Amino acid sequence: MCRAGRLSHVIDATCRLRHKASVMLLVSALLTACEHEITLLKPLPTAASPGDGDSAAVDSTAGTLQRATLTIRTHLAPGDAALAATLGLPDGVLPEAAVTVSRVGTAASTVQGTTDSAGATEFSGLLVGRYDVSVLRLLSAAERALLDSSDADVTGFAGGGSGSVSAPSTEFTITTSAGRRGSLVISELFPAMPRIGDQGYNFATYIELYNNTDTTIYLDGKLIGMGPFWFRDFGQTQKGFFPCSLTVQWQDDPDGLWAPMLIRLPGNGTSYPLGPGLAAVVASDAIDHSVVDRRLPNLTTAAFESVGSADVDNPSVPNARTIVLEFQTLGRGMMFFGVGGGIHFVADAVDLNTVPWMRPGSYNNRIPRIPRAKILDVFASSMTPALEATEGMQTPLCDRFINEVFDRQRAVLFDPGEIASIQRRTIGLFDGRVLLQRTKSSAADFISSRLISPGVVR
Amino acid sequence: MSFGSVPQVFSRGGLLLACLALFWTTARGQERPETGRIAGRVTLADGMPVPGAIVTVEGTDLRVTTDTAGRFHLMRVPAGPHVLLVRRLGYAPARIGVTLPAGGLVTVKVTLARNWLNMPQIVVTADPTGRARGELGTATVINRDAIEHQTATSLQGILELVPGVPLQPPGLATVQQIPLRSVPTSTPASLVAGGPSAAELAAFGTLIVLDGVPLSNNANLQTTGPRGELGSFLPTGGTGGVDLRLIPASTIERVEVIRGVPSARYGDLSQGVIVVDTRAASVEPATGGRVDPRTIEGNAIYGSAVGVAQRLTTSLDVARTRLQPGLTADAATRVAARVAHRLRIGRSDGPVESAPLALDTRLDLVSLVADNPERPAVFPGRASFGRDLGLRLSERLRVALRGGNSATATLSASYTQQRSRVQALRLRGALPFTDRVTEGTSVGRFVEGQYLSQLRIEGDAWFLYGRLEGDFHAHVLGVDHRFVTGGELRREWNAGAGLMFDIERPPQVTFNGVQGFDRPRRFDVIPPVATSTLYADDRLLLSVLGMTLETQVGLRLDLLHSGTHWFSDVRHAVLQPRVNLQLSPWPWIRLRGGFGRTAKTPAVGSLYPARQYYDVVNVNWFANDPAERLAVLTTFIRDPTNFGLGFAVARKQEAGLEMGTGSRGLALSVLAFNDRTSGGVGFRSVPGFLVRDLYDLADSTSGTGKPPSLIEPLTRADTVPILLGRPDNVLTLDSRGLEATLAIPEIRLLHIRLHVQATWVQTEFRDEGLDFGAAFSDFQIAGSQPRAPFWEGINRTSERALITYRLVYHRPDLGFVVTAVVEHIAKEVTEDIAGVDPLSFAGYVTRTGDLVPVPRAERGNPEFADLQVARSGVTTARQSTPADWFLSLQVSKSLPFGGRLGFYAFNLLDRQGRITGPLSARVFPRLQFGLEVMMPLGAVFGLSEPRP
Repeated sequence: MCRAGRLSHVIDATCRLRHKASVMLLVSALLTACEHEITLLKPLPTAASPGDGDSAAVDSTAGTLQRATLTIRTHLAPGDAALAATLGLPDGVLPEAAVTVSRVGTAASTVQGTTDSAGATEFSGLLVGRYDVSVLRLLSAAERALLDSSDADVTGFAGGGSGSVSAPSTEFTITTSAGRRGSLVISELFPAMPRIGDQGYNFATYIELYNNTDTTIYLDGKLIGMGPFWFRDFGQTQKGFFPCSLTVQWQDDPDGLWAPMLIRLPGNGTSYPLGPGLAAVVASDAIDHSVVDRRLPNLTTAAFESVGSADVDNPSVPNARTIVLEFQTLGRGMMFFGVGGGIHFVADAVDLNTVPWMRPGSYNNRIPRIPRAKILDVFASSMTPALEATEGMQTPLCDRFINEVFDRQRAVLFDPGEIASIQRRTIGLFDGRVLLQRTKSSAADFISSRLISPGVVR
Repeated sequence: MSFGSVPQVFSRGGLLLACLALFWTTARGQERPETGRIAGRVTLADGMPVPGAIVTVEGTDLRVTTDTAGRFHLMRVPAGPHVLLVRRLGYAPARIGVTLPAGGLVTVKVTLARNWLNMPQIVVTADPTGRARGELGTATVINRDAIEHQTATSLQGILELVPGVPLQPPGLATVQQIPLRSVPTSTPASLVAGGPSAAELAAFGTLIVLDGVPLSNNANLQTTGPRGELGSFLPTGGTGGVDLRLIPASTIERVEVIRGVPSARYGDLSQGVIVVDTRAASVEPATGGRVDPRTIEGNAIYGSAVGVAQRLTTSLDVARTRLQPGLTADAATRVAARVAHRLRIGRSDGPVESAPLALDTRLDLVSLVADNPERPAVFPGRASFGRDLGLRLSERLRVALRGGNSATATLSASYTQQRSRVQALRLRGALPFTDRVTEGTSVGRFVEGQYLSQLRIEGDAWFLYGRLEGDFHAHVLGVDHRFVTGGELRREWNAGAGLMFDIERPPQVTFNGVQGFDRPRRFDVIPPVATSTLYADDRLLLSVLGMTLETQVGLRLDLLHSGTHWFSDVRHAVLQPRVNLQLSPWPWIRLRGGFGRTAKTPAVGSLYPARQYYDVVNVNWFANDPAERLAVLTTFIRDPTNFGLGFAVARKQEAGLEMGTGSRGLALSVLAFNDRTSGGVGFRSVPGFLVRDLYDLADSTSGTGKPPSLIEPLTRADTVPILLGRPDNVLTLDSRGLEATLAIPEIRLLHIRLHVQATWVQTEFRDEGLDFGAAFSDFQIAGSQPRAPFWEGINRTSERALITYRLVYHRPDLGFVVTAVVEHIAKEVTEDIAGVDPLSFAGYVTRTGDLVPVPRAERGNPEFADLQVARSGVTTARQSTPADWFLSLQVSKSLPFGGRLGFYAFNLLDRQGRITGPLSARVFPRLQFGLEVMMPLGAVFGLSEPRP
C-alpha cells in the first residue's frame, strides 16, 4: 500500500526495507500492539434458579452447572416444649412455617417454601454455594388464645442459620424458638448515606424506638449501641487485620454485646416516658434534612439527637450523649451504622463501671460489653444480596455473625446508598395499638421500605 | 544534628582546608603525570575525507579541527579513558571511546554519516562510565543519539536511561518529577498531613541546570495546604521539584546526571544534579513528530550562522496528551519555544573558547496547560485547570584570559505565571460558620448542604540568578590544576494574587468546631528569599606509585539571608566540603570514591507559611425557626512562621569500581552509595491551646421569632488544645544502595549489544517531630478528657531492586536499530515502622498544650491507663509488590535525507504487575504504542547542504 504523493519518498523508503527480518519484526510488533484490546467473552448460562449467572458456580470441568437439593428440617428449641404442647404442635418440629432461602452474595436469589406436617421442606435445583435460611411461623389469634398468661406475649416461632449447600443434596436443621413481643424495641432504622453529587450525606440517620408493651417505659439512661462488628474475614485478604478465628470470641459472645459505639439517652429516671404504642426517634442531627435533599427526612421533632462540637444543636431536642465511640466523627455527633451493616441494639441503663472492657489489638478505645440481661432488642443485618455481590465478596462474611441468644438470623437489608429505611414488621392491632413482630430473627422481623416515617409506626 | 551554628560549620571548614593542604603536600615533588596523543582521520563511509570537522575530548578543553585530508592530532591528552566527539554540520555527531595509555599514541578512524543510524559507533544507551563536564563524581551521560532513539516527550523520558529510574510511557499526562537515588515509595502519602512525601522531598532536592542556569521550584505556591480538600484535584505540581514536562526532549542535546558528589559549582540540592544542554549553534533545520493513541507532538529546529560572528538557533515544540481518549476531554498541552544566540567578539574563527569574548543569550518560553473540564454526567461540578507560562532570559558572557583561563558571568531572570483553578461540589452537614479574617468573636451563621467550591491560585514566581566564575589552569608544585572559583546570588519570590475563594464556599468541609477553615491569602505580600554562595573547586592529576590519581576537591559556602537582599544578615550558613577521588592502576580500571555535603534552600512557602485559623464555636443554637437561630464563634489566628528554619543538609558518599575499555567495549561499573538528607522541611506539630468562652443565653424561649441574647459578662470558659503545623527541619531521608552497570560489546555476528543496569536502593524516611495521632481531633473537642497521648515520629522504609536489560540490535548498513528493554522489578517493599501497641506512647499533652514525657519503664503503670491506647492513623503492615517484569520495544529506521522513522511499544505484553488483595491495582502502565518521525529539512528544501 505504497501510494504516491508529497511524502511518497518517505513511504517508498519504508516499503523498500531490504532486510526481511527487520520488516517481520516491525510488522509483528505492530500486530501485537494492535491486537491487545481484543477479548472474547464466553456467554453466561441462562439464569434459572437462585444464583444463576454467578461464575463461581460454574463447573468448568464438566461444562454444566452443579445443582443441589436442600432439605430444611425444623426443630423446636427444648425450652419451648411446654409451649409447643399447649399449641398442639407435633413433637419437636414446626409445621406450616414459612421458609426463606437466599444464596449469599447473589442478587435476586430468594426462594420460599412452607414446612410440611413433619416440619420439613425441600428446595431442588439450587446452585451450590452458601445460603441463608430463615424460618417463621406466626401464631394465629386462635392459637394465641390458647396460651397461658406466662406465654401471652409469644407472637410466633422463628429461627435461622447459614450454611453451605453442596451437590447432590444437603440438609439443614433449623432450631426455632418462641418469639416474644419484648418491651422497648427498635421499630425503624434509617442508615442511609445517600450520595449527593459525589459525596455521601450521613447526617440524616436515625433509630426509632417503640414501646411494644402495654405499660409506659422510661427512656432515661437507655443505651443505644452498635454491637461487635468483626463479622468479615479481613484476615483473609489484608495482612495484619483480624481473621474470623480471632474475632469469633467477641462476635459470638453469648454473655453480652461488645459495643464500639454507645449512646446514652438523657434523663434522671422519669424524665422521658414513652407510652404504649408510641415511638421515639433518636437522630444524628435533629434538623430538617429535606432542605439538603427533599428525599431526606425532617427530624426536627425527634425525641433526642446526638450532638458534637461541630454540628448544630437543636435546643428543642434533648441531647443524647456519646459515651463510647471507636470511630472518628470529626466533631459530628451521629448515629453510626457503618457501611456494611452490623448489629444495633437498645439496652437498659447500665453502670459501665461494672461491665467488662477490652481493647482489641489495633483499636484506639476500650470497648465495653453490655450484659445479655440488659439487652432489650437487637437488629442484625448485613448488606443486601445485590450489594454483597458487588461490594462484599472480596472480604467474605464470617461463619458467625451474632450469637443466637440475641438474634437467630441476620437480615440482608443493609444498603446505605439507598434512601430507604428498615422497618419492623407489624403483626396487627392489639388493644388499638400496633403490635410489632419480634421473633428475635431480624431476617423475619424486618423489611426494607421506601416509606421513611420517623416517629410513626403503622 | 544541628547545622545552625556558623562557627561550628567553619570549624569543619578548617578540617577541609587541612585536607586541601595535605593534597598539595602530597602533590609536591610528584612527577608530572604522563599524557598521550590521539591521532586519526575522519571520513565518509566511502572513504572521502571530511575536512573542517571539530574533534573534542569530552570533559576537557582539548579541541582540534580536521585538515583537508580529514586528519587530526590531539596532543597532551591525559592518560585514561576518553570520549572523542566529532562534529560537522550536515552530519550526525560521532562519539568514539578510546583508552589512552600514559605516553602512548592511539589512532582512531571515524566514519561520519548523514544519519546517525548509519554510523557504527552510535550508542543508544547511557554511557555507563561517563563523566559530566568538569566533574569527577558518578554521572550518567546521555548524548543526542541516545536521546533520538529514546521514546521521550520530555526530560523524564530521557532520564529513564539513568540507573534506578523506572520506565514510563511518553506523554504529559501527569506531573513529572525525578527523585534521584531514592525510592519514591509505593505510598505517596506524607508522614504528616501537609508535609512532603519521600518522593517529593527527593525531587525537591534534585537540581536541574538548563543551559548553565539552575531551574527552581522554590517559589511555587500552587498548593492548598494541609486543610485544602481540593488539593488532590490540582493538575499542577506545587510541591517537590521542577515539573519535567516543561523541558521538551526534542530540544535537548545532552544530559548529564550527576548522581555522586557534585563539584562545588553546584548548590541548592540534596540528591543530585541534572545538567541539560539544549541544541544550539549551527543546527541543520529539522522537523519531527510523534503520534500515539494519547499523545501527538511536533517539533522543529533551525540554526544558522548570522555573519561570521553570530549563531542563531530557534526551536519550537508542541505536544498534547489526552489522558483518557474517548472517555474524557482531559488533556495536557505544551508549547515550548527557544531562541539561542551566540555572539563572538574578537577572533571569529575557531571554537568559541578561543574567542576573546563570547556572549550567549537564551530566551525560553514554555506554556503547559492541563485542562480537565467538567463531566456533568460523571462528576458534576468537578473540573480543574492549570497553566504554567514560563519565560526565561539568560545571558552568559565568557572572557578568554591568558593561558587558557577564562572568566564567565551569568545572569538570568525567569518568570513563571502559574494559574490553577479547581472546582468541585462539596457537601457538608449543618454547622456553625464564620467568615472573619481577623481575630475576635462575632455572630456567625449556619451553613449546610451542597455547594460549588471554586478555588483559584494565581502565582507569579520570580527567580533572579547570577554567577561570576573564574576557570584557571595552572601547573603548581609539579601538578596540573584546574581551579574553578566563583559566587552565586539568588533571589526568589512570588508576586501572584494568591489563593482565592469565596470564604462561605471554602475548599474544605471538614470542621470539628476548633480547627478552622483556611482563608484566602495573597502571595505578593510574601517577602523574597535571598541566598548567596561562594565556592572553589580544584581538579588535579597526580601520579602515585605509577598509578594515576585524579582528584577533585571543593568547598562551598551557602548563605540564607534573613532579609530580602544579599546584604542582610545571615540566617543560616552551611559549609560544604566535597571530595572525589579516582585511582587508576591501569587505564582500564578505576577505583573511585567521593564524599561531600550539599545544602538545599527551603521553599518560599516553608519560610513564609500561611497563617492558620481556628474557629471555636461559642454558641450553637440551631432552633427550628431560622429566625431564632444563633451562632457565635471566636476566630483565632496563629502564625506558624519558623524563624529558625534553615537549609536541609545532605551528606553524600560513594565508593566503587569501574572497568572499561571504551564506549564500545566491555564496561562495568559497581558502586555503593549512601545519601542522607537531614533537616528536610516538613511540618512539626506544636501543641498549644485556646481559651473558649462559654456563654449563657437569655431569652431562649422558642416561638419568640428572635434569637436568644448572650448574658455578659462571661462567667465560664475552658481551654481547647490545638496543634500548630509549623514548618521545620524535621525530615530525614536516608538512602543507601548499590548500582551496577554492565555494557557488553557488540556480538558482531548478530549485530547485538547488551546493556544491563541493576540498582538496589533502600530508603528510610523519618519524621523527627512528634505524632499526636488521628485521635487528637477527638481530644480537642472532648472537654472532659484531661490529656491525650503522643508518640515519636514514624519511620517509613522502602526498598526497591530494579534491573533493566537493554538489548540493542543495530545494522548501520540498513540504518536500523531495535532496542528491547526489559524492566524487572525484583523487589519493592514499603513499611512504616512505628510503635503501635498500647505502651508505645511517649508521653501526653494536656488541654493547655503542655507536653509531659513518660519514661518507658512507667508507661505500663495504672495511672497511665487512659494513655495506653493503640496508635491510630498508622498502619505498620508491610506492603509489597510481587516481583514482575515488562517489555518495551523501540525501533528506528533511517529515512532518506537523514530522516528517521521510529516505532515504540511500551509494555508490549501489557503486563499489569499487581498488588494482591482486595485493593489490587495495576502497577505497570498499560500497553501504549506509537510512531515517531524526524526529518531534516535542509537537504529537502536546499536550505543547507552538507559541506564535506
